[in-house]
Amino acid sequence: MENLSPFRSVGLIGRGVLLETLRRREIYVLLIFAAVFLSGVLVVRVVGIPNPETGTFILNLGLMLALTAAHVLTILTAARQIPFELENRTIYPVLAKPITRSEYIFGKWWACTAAGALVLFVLGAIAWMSVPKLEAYSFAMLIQTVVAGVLSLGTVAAVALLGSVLIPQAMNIVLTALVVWFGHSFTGFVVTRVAGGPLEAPTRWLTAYLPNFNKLNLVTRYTDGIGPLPPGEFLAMIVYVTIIFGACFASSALVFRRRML
Amino acid sequence: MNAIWLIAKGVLIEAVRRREIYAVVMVSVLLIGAVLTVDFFDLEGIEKFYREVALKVMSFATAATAIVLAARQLPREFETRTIYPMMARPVSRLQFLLGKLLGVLLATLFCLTIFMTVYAAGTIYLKHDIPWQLFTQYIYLQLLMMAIVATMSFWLSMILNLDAAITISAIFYLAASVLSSLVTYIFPDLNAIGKYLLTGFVYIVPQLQIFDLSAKAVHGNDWPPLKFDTIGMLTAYAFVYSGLFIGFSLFSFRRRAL
Amino acid sequence: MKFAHWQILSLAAFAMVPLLAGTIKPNDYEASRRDNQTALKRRNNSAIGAILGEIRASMADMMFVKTEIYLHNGVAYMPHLDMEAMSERGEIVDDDHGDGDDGEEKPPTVIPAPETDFRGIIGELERRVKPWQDPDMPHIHTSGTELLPWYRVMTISDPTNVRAYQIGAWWLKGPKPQEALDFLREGMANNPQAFQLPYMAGQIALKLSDRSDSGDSGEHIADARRFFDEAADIVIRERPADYDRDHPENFPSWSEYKEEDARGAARFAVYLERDHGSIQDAIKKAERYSQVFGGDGVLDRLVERLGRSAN
Repeated sequence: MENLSPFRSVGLIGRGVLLETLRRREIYVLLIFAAVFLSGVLVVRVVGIPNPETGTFILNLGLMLALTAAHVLTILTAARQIPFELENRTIYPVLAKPITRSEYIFGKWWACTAAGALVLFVLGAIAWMSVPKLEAYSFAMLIQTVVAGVLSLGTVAAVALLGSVLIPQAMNIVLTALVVWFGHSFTGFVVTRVAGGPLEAPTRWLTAYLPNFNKLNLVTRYTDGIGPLPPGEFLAMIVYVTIIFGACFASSALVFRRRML
Repeated sequence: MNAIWLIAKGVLIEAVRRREIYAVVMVSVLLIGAVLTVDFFDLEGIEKFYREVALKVMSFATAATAIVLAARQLPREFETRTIYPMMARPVSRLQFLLGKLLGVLLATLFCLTIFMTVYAAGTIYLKHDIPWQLFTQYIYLQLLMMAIVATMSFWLSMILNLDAAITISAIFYLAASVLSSLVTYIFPDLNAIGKYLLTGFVYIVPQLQIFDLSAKAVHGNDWPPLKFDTIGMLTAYAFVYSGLFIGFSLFSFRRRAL
Repeated sequence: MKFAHWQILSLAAFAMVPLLAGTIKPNDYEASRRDNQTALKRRNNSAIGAILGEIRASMADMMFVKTEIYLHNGVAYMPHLDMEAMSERGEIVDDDHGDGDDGEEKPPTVIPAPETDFRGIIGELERRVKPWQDPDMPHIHTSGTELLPWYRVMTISDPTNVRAYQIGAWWLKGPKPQEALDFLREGMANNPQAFQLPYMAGQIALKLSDRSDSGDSGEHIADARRFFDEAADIVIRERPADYDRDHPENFPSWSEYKEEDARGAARFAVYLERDHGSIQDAIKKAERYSQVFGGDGVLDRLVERLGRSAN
């Protein structure tokens, strides 16, 4: 372990998280969600799809639920990592090895993102394959939707890991969930309150620091039959997410380093 | 009875001491409070919105607390090995489970009391009316529903891992009303076997939506409170299912090597 | 505290993130497409729509269900209200069924009636605990003002939800016309392509001018003219050039209601020009708008009459 490259150590930490996820039988949760989805498919078969709009509606709902389930699992997994290791004192032998705090956090992050992405792929595939496509949808948009979904999971994992070194676990879970699902409504609400006044511009600027997960959710755009985002805008989305990752890692590593272990 | 009460007290104290319950309560109170600060066009008499948001937040937060607290009780006892000294005392497994259930219900009531206090303060501030009889019945029925959910979580936590137990209980709670609409819709389209299966499903799986009085409480100005015979039937229903789940938990508990 | 280079760079980049965030607008596409009324109605009136109740992915669908339930005092019927009529005229009318008091087929309740419910005692308990009334009884329609906070929340969450602005303003204009105007102005700023909002704002301003007894009637008239002109200008831009009134089903984003209101906006713009501007300009406007609609009886007659009176 002494001459480990940063890539190797990050890989090993992440592998540990995935193995732990399997050991704790969290895969059950995925199976439960999959069973719920398949029951939904069965019901759709029985009730039938009366028109193309309803087909699109169900496709939208299925993909949204897949994305939601993936986010839930990612939040729960990421928020638990560091508190769990601290509580069980398993963090000490890990950090005694030549691994930097940043590598440790990065390793945790990619594994949590991968676990969430697995849920997204499995449930998304069940939803996508089981609904007959009665309206026209863009395949390129589907690819962008999936990529944006994974980017969103990466962002939520980074935010939850940062939260886990700052606040208690339960509060972290609740706050991260609120940011993911209600963050954009909250910023919209705040901006509407000051709209038209001198505070509008600074408020818009400040609220833009809150990660906007709505921008990373392209499911409705896909099911509305809209074409893919222009390459420039999609690239901007990737850069936006990368900057948030960077800021979360930098802050987590700083707080983590200052924390007494 | 003393043993049950002592165990229940332990669960309640643990719940009140842990920070999680306050995180849930704090966020819920903040959400309810945020609604109070919104000036909806300076209109008066729009209490249904406030009631609905408050009741939804209360119901979800209470269910989340009850499910997590209940699902954690037994695995934690095994994990920390605190079950062994407990079982060495003259406490039966049934008393142990009943004590745990009472503790979870008291913690649930603790949450509901905080929420209701915040809600009532907000209502007085907004100069709205509270349909007290319906609200009291709402709280009582929530407790009955939580008794079923908590006992189910006990049982699931004995046969599955903790996360799976929490997830199934949460899905079951959240999907209750959809499930109810679903069965009534698909019933006419099924063949005879399907109809038998669905009828069995309705009578075997607890129907949580029949405890949800929130819609009447929201539109409470025009709906009378429930009659006593209805409350009585719902109480009996909850007792039967909680009893069954306690029985299943007891069975799994007995089979588990201590 | 020691910062590594990457940490300084990351935090510096984050400081500038609002600049980048403003350029990403993946869901800012044509709002009318998302708010396709026919599609909205068809999916929400389907059995799946009713089963899912309030569990919806989109706010527009949520609003559909919430409005139905609130207007029936909490009783969940199978969706049947004509939301389009509600948004355009503020009317609570049935879509396909009778309303329970005229002998027509009545919409069933989501919780079935005892004679159609196979669940026995469970169904009976559900009917007692949830707001329920016999679907054969006449429906009780309550005031929509209780829904206003939901519409406010919906427009905050989705500022491109034109229908929410419309229905919200309809209910608000009775008790609070000035606030209704402000609400519509906010909607106009967020939806510059929606002519219905300035059209409705024009009507409210016109009503205010009628009621006005404090001498600001002229101001309201000027507002109304501005709103109707704006609405008519948007109609010219947005109305499908090949729109065929005999086959509205070929134009899902431009319903019959929309066409009716588009013509209404144009006519009001001409009337106000005639009454408070110049006859010549009114004639020019009427001719131009009539051309856009490929002929409009009311506008054509108006041109004729105005021409005669100008001579």
